[in-house]
Amino acid sequence: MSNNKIFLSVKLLAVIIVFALVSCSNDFLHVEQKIGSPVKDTIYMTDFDSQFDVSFNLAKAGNAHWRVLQYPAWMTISPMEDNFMEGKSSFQIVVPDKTFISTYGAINLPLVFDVDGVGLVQYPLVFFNFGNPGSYLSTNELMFDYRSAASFSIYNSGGGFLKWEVKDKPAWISLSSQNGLVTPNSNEQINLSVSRLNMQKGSYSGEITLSTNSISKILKLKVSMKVTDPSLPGTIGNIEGEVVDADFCKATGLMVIAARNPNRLYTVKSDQSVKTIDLDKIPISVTISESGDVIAGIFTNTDLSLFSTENLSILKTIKTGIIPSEVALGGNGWAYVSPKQYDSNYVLSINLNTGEVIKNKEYMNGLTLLKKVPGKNLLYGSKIGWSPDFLVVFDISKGAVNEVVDQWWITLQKFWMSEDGLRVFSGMRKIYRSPEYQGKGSINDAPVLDGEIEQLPGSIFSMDHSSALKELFIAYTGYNSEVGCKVSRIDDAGYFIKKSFAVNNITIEENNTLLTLIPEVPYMFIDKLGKELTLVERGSGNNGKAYWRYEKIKLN
Amino acid sequence: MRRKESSFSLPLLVLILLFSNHSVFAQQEILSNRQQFSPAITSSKFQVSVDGGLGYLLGSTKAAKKQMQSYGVSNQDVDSYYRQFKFGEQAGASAYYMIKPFLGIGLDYSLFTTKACVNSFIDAPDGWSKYYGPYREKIYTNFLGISCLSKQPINERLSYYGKLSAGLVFYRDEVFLIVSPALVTGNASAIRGELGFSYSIAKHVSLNVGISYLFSSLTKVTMNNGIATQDVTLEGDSKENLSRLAISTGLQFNF
Repeated sequence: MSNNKIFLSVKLLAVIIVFALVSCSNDFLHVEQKIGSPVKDTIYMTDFDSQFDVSFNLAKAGNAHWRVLQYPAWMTISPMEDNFMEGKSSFQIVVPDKTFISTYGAINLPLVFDVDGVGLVQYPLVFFNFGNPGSYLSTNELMFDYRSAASFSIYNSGGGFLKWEVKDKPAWISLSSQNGLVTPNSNEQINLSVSRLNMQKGSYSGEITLSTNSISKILKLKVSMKVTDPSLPGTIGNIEGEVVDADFCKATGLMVIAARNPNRLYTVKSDQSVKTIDLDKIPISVTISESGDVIAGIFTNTDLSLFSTENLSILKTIKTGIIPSEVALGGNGWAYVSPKQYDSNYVLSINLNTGEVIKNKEYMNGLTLLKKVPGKNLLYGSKIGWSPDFLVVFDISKGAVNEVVDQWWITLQKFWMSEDGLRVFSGMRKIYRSPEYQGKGSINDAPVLDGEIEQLPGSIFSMDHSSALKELFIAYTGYNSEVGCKVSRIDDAGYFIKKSFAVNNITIEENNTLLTLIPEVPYMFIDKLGKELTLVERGSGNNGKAYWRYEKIKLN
Repeated sequence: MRRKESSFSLPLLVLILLFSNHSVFAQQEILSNRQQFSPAITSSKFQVSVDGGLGYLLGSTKAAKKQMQSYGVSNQDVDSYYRQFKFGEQAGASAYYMIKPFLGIGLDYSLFTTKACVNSFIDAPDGWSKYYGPYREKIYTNFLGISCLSKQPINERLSYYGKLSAGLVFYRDEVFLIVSPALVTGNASAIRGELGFSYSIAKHVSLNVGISYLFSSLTKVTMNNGIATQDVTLEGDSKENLSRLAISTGLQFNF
């Protein structure tokens, strides 16, 4: 074989060897994948977002090509690859069917992009999947009747987080929450309260509609209630402590309230201005003079103190020497104090100028009411709780109480005077003409009857009379406690009920629970012009805790 | 990707090759008559050829497709992938020493490459995620074997030939799955046969056109992901069928 032939053969063999070697490099196995910095933003999505547009900004990417590398299997991303324009791009996330998401709660899964020249870039994604919870209500119907509060629970029977929201409800009902989130296999209590403000007497019903993310979507609760009488809107002022007494001056429109724990006097004017004074003694009773120039208070330390109506400063304090139960001002420079039952037995007359204390000789144990008769030099009293409890008439025409005290043999169950002092309204609904002082001592008779108030369907708390309106206002609680507290306006000549309105219930929050309390009205005052009614109200919470407030209601 | 065994019959191939030239051993007389007008055949002791062409893989892709679909790749992408994969390029070379004017022995080498690529979605092992990206493979199949060449002149310039080779296939599959590379290698015995025509275009150079068939099946591979290697024995449908049919053309140098 010639050299040329050998050379050609070698060349051909070289070609063969190149063929064999061309496919032998393993370098591709060791190409290192670049990792870029994560995107600073985080995508927050829930399964309610069926479609979500995302801005994808990566300054250092320039105009590079990107491709989605890794993403949650139950979502689709569009487009899956694109190019940045000066570091800016965007894509859209769609969750076609959330039932493919196999768990609920917060899911932290990154989106990973392969960006040319940058490497793998993570875009943090927090997806909250509420899942597919089951839901039901503790009841499908709530009948309030005359009640103002009730509650129901919304249950999550599992499978996800239950998100609910009030979609529709009657206007007269309020819910403690308008929306909420219930964790799996738990429930949430929702308190309901009814407002009967300006509603006509009658029966009402409606439906509360809750929209949820549960399988059943909509939950409905039927509600119904009854309105006896409309309530009137009032202006509320809360009173700290326990009210022991209250009085009102028709001449000035000033109300005074004595409270203890903390020991304090409040004065409230018709313009809502409130003054208070903290006391270093425990009040028992308080009163305002007819002219409204001075306030008198009695205390457990036997003090009788006079207060300025202007600034509540103490003008004078006189030691009475007894534990009193009630105080009255005579408008004649004298104050009168009834004794505490079984503690002292005699009424005291106290000269406010000299401080002289004169003990009446009449045995007066149990005298717990003592009121100045408007326009007369008389005090009326009664022995509440006794039988009979008597109408006791004191003559104060000479300053100190006359030694002879008239005691009419009748049962009053508390009494209130007409504005002109000519009539006595008893808690027994009887009306008597105010008896003059007889000087007879015990009188085995009743004063002249003037009539009887129309039957009221409840227990009387308090009364007040308005000469301007020629009406008697009576606050009472219905025998059916669900009816709540009402005020009836009585014609002061015919003694029939002209109209009634409901007193607004007291709503308080106690131990994180919303309570609706039916108020009692121990004190009620109508102003001189018959324009404004003031109620001092008490509500009893759990464990006997009392909540006090006053409410001023404008009358039409 | 694993491909199923071809149903092509190996004995049939051998018979075709052996009797395609009317039996190389029985044709000595005919050849001696033709030596007079075919000086290239009579005078050349060495014959070297190079060729190139297209190959078509004959193995079934059914099992491989199924496996790819199990990763979460869509049917459409799988079909597209295997359409690309079936066709490849082939190049080869061979060298023979002609012990008789019509019969030579030597070495036969061929390289077949094919590749496929598709951007697709693949389920991640965590059950939560999907991957999206390129799924690509490039396969190199090198065959080297001892070969027997028989050729028969038709006229002065044209002859037909047959080759039958037995040797080894060296298999190399470069896989790139989204971001993960892997290398699958292995080797197996193989038989390669070729039938073709040779046309003399110069004193020592002829142009060859042929059709070939390679039969081989891979039963054991080594997998390497750049971190670790693992030997895997392929059984049943998992066996890698490397059989292919190819057409090629090339030059033959006679010395």
